[in-house]
Amino acid sequence: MIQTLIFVLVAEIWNTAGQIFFKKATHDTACIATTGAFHDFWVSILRQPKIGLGLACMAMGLVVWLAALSNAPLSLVFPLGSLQYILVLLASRIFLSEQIDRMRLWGTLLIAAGIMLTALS
Amino acid sequence: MNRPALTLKVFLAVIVNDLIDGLAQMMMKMGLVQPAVFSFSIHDTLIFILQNAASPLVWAGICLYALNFFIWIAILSRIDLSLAVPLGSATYLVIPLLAMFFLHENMPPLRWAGIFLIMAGIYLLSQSKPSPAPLSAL
Repeated sequence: MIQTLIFVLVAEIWNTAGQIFFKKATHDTACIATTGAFHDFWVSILRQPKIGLGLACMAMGLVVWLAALSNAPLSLVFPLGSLQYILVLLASRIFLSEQIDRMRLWGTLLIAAGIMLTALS
Repeated sequence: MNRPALTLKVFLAVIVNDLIDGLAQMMMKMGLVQPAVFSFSIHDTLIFILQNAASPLVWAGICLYALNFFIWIAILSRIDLSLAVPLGSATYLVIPLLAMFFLHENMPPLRWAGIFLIMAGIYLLSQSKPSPAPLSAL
């Protein structure tokens, strides 16, 4: 139980880090995304080192996640997945300076609680 | 630069992205060699990878993840991360509802409560204002 919790948490921290890198990469190409052509956007974004860093984080997260899945029933891993929403909310605030207004905070908390309930039922 | 508010197109893209993610995970769960012994040591990690490298289901899952990567980057270039990630929870609405209507699975009250909370959460998120564009994009 504790081991599963740690595995899931470690996987989610890697995934959150990956998401932050991805989002930062899209910041750097945001101008092209709105003004430029489809092709230009993808060429520019795939050249971003942050995409590579993000993918590396995701790969780490995936390996740990697979390990968690192979060690525990999905019914235990699944409800713990809702912790990811809290981690992403905090990380978006800290590393991306996204504005977390009241709607977004409560919306995210309700969703995390709802997923817990759905998964436990 | 003005980032658009959440549109139906982006919202649907988020749901499709999460459905593919769920499918990929199911394939991987089925494809993994059981029982697996795993720890964080390099030796065990390599054995774990080698044991599972021959599984077509695991590879199919990885291919779906690759497809999802492109969809996800397109989504992130349009909306906030702290909006995109929780919106993906719409999958948790879609799957139980589909299971109820098409597979005639019965829905326990606790799951109805969860679905109601998620719906309310998604509504609140849709009312949230987008962050101003980051300086690096100007």
